[in-house]
Amino acid sequence: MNRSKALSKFQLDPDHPIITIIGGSQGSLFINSMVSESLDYLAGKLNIQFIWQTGPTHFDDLQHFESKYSSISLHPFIDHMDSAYAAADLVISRAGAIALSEIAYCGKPSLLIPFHGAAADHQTKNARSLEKAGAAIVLSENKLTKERFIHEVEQLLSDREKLVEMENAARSVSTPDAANTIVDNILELVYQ
Amino acid sequence: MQNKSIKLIIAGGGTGGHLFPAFAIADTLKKRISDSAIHFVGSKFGIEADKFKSREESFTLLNIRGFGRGLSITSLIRNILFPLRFMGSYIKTRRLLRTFSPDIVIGTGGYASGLPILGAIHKGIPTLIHEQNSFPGFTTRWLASRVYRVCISYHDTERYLKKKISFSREIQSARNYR
Repeated sequence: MNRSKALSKFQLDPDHPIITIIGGSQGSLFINSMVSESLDYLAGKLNIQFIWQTGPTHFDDLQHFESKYSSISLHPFIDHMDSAYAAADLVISRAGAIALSEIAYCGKPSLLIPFHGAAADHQTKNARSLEKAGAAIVLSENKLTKERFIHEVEQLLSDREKLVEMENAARSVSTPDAANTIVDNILELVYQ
Repeated sequence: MQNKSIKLIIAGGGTGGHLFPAFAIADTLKKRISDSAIHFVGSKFGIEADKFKSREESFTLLNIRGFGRGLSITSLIRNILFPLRFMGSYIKTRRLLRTFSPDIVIGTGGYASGLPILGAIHKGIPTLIHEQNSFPGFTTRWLASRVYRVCISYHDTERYLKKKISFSREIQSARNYR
């Protein structure tokens, strides 16, 4: 999926930056609130566009933003994540293992806000592995203020060089052949 | 030999993080052995209750969900119902294992993945768990020492498991990267 095709799918403007927001398949109340509170500045002043997976439970409460800003494409769940990633200049996400695999596979810079309530705080451990590779910036939800969030987003999107570095780093940690490895293991067990 | 069709059950779901690896494994296996028979197992309370319908594979939804946390009435009722749901789902799982007769059962995590794996262990059917997260989920911690193999995404996970495991690295989601 190329970027321009993805952009037309979401009816977004190629001349302004795009952020894809993923709070997991169920959505993240924390990320949704943080983004909602920052929209006046990010969408209103900086003209940033959003592809936003809200989660089915929060969708109705957030739907009014779509009529307020034409630059927001709001979805309870996105089936074609390939387009949502292809369109993005930056991804803001929780840090579930599969979301991180997808981000790495698609080579996208990311701002990760791990869910601290996850067992043994494993999302933070997942997220740190991408951060260590230089592919992501990790923000802790306990300390995160709206001002810091806006600052990080603005800073990242204005630094094209850094974004490219992060894209390359993300690609370098991707393991696109993992499903085949698992199938190899399955066949070995069945035929042994 | 390795092109002979196989029958497998893939159990997992609850969230996309446990469900999409199940689809990725199914799609990859079908690419390699097109006439393989695949049956999905999930929970009727998970995201898969809806997502299975868009797939061509047959599926079973179990009436099972995790423990309710906290002291609300809903949590209390859910926890009182848990043993009943567990037993009912286990009987359904055993019946499925008997009728479908899989060569192997795969678990990708989430509360619906535990019972098919447990049933397969009891029947001596080969089993494999795919653990996506750095810290293993409940099913993996519960059953890792009794399954044939565990595939993990992070080296770190090995610290939490007693069993010797394969290292699979990160699996890609099945969401059509074309």
